[in-house]
Amino acid sequence: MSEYILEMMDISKSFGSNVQALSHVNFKVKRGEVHALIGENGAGKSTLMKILNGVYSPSGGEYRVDGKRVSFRNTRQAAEGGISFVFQELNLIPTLSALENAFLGRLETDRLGFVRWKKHRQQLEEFFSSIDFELDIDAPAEDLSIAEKQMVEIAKALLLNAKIIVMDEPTATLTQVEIEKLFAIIKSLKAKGVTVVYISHRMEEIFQICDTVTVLRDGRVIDTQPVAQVDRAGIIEKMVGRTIDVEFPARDYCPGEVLMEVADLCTPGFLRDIHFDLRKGEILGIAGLVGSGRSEIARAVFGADKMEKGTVRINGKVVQIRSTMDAKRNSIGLVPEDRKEEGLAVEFSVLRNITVTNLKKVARFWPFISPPRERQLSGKSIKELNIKTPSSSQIMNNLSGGNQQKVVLAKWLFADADILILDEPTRGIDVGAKFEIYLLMNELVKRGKSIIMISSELPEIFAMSDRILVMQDGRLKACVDKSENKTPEDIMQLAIG
Amino acid sequence: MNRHKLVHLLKNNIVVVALLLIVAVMALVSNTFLTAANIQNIFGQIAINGIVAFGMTYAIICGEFDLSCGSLLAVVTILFIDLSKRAGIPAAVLVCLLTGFVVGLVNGLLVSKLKISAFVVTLGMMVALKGVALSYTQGKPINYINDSLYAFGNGSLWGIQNIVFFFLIVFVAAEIILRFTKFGRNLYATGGNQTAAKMAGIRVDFYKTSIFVIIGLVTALAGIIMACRTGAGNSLFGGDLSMTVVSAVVIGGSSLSGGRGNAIKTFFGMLVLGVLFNALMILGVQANWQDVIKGAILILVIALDATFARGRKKLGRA
Amino acid sequence: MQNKNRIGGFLARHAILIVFAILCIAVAIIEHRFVSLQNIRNILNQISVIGILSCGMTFVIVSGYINLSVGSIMSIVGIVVLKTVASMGDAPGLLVALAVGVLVGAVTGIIMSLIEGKLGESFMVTYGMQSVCAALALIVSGGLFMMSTTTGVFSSMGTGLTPIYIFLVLIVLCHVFLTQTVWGRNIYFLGANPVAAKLSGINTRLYITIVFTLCGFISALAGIVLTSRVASANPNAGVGYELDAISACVVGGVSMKGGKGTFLHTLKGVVIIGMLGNALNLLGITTYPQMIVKGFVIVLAVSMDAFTRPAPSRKVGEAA
Repeated sequence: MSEYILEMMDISKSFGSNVQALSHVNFKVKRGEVHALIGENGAGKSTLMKILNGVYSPSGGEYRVDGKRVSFRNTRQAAEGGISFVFQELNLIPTLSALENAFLGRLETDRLGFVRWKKHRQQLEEFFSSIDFELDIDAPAEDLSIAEKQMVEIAKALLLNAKIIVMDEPTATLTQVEIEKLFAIIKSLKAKGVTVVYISHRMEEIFQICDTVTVLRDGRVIDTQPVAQVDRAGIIEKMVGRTIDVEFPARDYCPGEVLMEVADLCTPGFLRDIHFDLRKGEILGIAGLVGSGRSEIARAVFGADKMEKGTVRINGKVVQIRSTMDAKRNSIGLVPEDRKEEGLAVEFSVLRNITVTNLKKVARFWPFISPPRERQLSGKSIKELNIKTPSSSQIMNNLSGGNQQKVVLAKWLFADADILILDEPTRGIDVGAKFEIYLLMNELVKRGKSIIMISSELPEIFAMSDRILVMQDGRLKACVDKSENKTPEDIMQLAIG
Repeated sequence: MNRHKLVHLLKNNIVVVALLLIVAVMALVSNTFLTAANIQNIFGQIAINGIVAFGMTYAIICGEFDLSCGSLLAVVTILFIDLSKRAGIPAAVLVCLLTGFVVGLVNGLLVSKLKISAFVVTLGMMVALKGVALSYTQGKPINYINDSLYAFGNGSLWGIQNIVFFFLIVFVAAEIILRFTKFGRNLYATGGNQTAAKMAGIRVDFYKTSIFVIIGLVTALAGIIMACRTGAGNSLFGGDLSMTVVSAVVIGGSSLSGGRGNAIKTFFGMLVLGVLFNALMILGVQANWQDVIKGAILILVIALDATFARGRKKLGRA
Repeated sequence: MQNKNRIGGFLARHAILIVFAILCIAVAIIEHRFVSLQNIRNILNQISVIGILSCGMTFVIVSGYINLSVGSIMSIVGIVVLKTVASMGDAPGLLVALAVGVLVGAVTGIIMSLIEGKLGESFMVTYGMQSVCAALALIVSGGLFMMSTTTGVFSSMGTGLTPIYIFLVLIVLCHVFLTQTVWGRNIYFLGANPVAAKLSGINTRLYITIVFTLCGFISALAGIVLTSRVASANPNAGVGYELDAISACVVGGVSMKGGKGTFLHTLKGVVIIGMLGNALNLLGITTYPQMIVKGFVIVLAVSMDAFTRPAPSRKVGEAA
């Protein structure tokens, strides 16, 4: 029997010709150990695990489970191969009970087709009592707390007799007591010989429960070490460490007067008491973990979501932003996280996507659109932002990610927006195009526009922002100014801690 | 949490509350409302549609939907009357059930395998079947029924009408299957979160096809019973069946978004509609106005359902 | 190799036209009356009403919805117009009748925009509305068949080739509106990606309401023309027309997914559906069996549309 229960060798994965998610990753997990997989958002952790789960197939490399070479084509095969996942976005059926979810797709029936509820109930109750966790197994999944939902997912995985359980950010929403219970479960799993891959941001936990740690960055494995031989600072350095100066264009920081002030911003059930202001000619970064509320701020300020409470002032005057039309009228524009689903009509041309925000400009004899004027003005935008497309009538879908993003940006410049909110502006874009976007951002800000930038890439947000808001769990944790000379690690610390 | 739980309880059982309200008001307003005869009447009215409603419940739980059941009902009544005359009762029953099965299968395969929207498939089927019914009868009702069948359709046993027995049997069977069998549980899974269901290895295509077949079969049964009760086969039957039945299911609390609901809820939904229309009849509201109200109820119910579903989705996001 | 692909692509894109052309030739051979002058006049007359109705439907489908109530709007407006023209005179009568269509459309549109529904909800809501309008038609008419008694603008709308002129003028106006104006542009964007439309600052709620109101208005016009042409009204006048309108749009190339299609497509589809109906009539396939064919056609047309433009798989109410 080999020492390793999982060996992923020389795994590479690319999407299209532009995005290299993983490059020659070697990831080996020993039998019965708890192995941490750590890295920033976008480092490649979820892509690697999606390959293991059968969702993707690798562009290069192979993987072995228990010494045998395997290739999972779908999640069912992965499950049958002994791999079980506990995801961050839970895979439960909201209207079915915890009991029914735990045995989803694996219900045992008698000859008549009636489910052996008694047996399943006993199995589940035994499981929960063995870990000393109380749960109403008849409650519908949608009524359970996140911790309880997670426990159900774990039960589901365990009841499948998995060889390897992969837990993706399992403690993100657990209380201390619940975390302790989770660790007890993991310890008992170890005792049973089950292997755990533990994906997390949280340093203390890794030191508490894991045996080995692998750090991923930019789709590569930076290092794999026994936990006993590393320290916290070392790990953070490996996660973040990239020389910053080279890849980001320099800029002078000279912000003007305050352009927008947001106070007391609350959204139903999530954001609480957000205050910040935005100055002319500055880039304000918003950092924080996924789910901390960054995009929610963007959407609320842009009028896409309802504000429960909050005042927005622009140039000192209070403005009502209750819809995206209001936002546009107040010169605010949003470049959404998911440009294909929310930022563009991908089956339309570049031309149409640019002019959609300000058709008045191309309507020479209003309400009639003047095609020559439209071509002329959109051509100007294309040139201005250096969008690579054979013509303005090219369909959006045929453009690269970077150029698509530029079109979304162009559309807001076409509307003369002064405040641009960019949500993950360089996601899914190759390095060269990223640099162009950074240059663009600097240029815009120099012209007097203001940018709010949401990003999960620490180096990016650290290098490009004049100030950084750090979000955690719907609350504004800190506001860091460039002059304070903090490091990216400090920002990460604030976001996690 | 107490207020939240109370609201939750009310929301989940708003049907029963509405039912009690209407009953209370009508009992005060009219002295014929709460009589045994009228209650019999109400159940008699809802029995036939109710049988189909349980089938529709399955479809809606699975996240699908069938507009063609009304036309199928008409076709079955015509087929049954005609065949019972020509080929005898057992053959007629068999052919009718088979027809329901085949129609359901076609609907189901088009939706699950070819991935065409259920709306369009069942809309097309509805028109085609209506054409079949009209072509066969040239728009005229067929009136003939074996005396014993007619007696069966209009008779009672121990004070309960025969058709109501069928209604109750289908009700109980539907609920048992939903609650206690693997088939039932997997229906909820498919409707509640299709991706998760697929990932757990549930054969989503099979379930989606099955529910259409089930609707086909229960509609055929309802058609046979209707033919016995009215003694006629008529292409005009079932005109508002899908509308009534969907309203009942959604009023009962099963959202169109799927994964929710059960036969008991549908039972109450049918009862509320039945009581409401009985009340309107007692109050002397014209048939046409009743149709206006039926349409308005559907619109209202769909609008509310969509709003609630959107609210649920938003909560899930944060 | 490339030549083969090009021919293949050409065939696929124009499959419908090619099949249709073959069918026309076949019918013309079987039944010579098909190409007679009188018949062509019949076809044009039939096409005019369906054509007008399809214009309204096109707006709705392009913005990503559907409207099953257009037929019953025709019915009720037909009845109203006879009454109002007889009692108020041509101009006010016509205006009131058109207003009825506008009202129904506006109510439908407001409901759809408030619930932020998508295609699925529009099926159900307009299905309910169809029922409401059909019942109202019965109530207003008392279930009776009514004869037209006036002469004037209204009755001339249905004589000779006027219906087809009305249709042609309307379709040109609609085409210009949709393809050349600012509002048309926004309607396309709404249909292509409603989320992106909203996030680009388009008032999607307003546009949804406008689209349904327009459809209601145009459906009223169709009802008026039909009533004028046959010089009578009855509460079931519009039954089945909505299916012809939907078929015409989809067969012509207006995609159910939204955001794609122009009135040129609608015109093509109207001609095909109109001629199909006429051919079936001539071949002795009466109204009732024709319905079977129509049901089949609609499923076929939509599945071909879905085939060329796969939409992400959604469930019924998740059209929520």
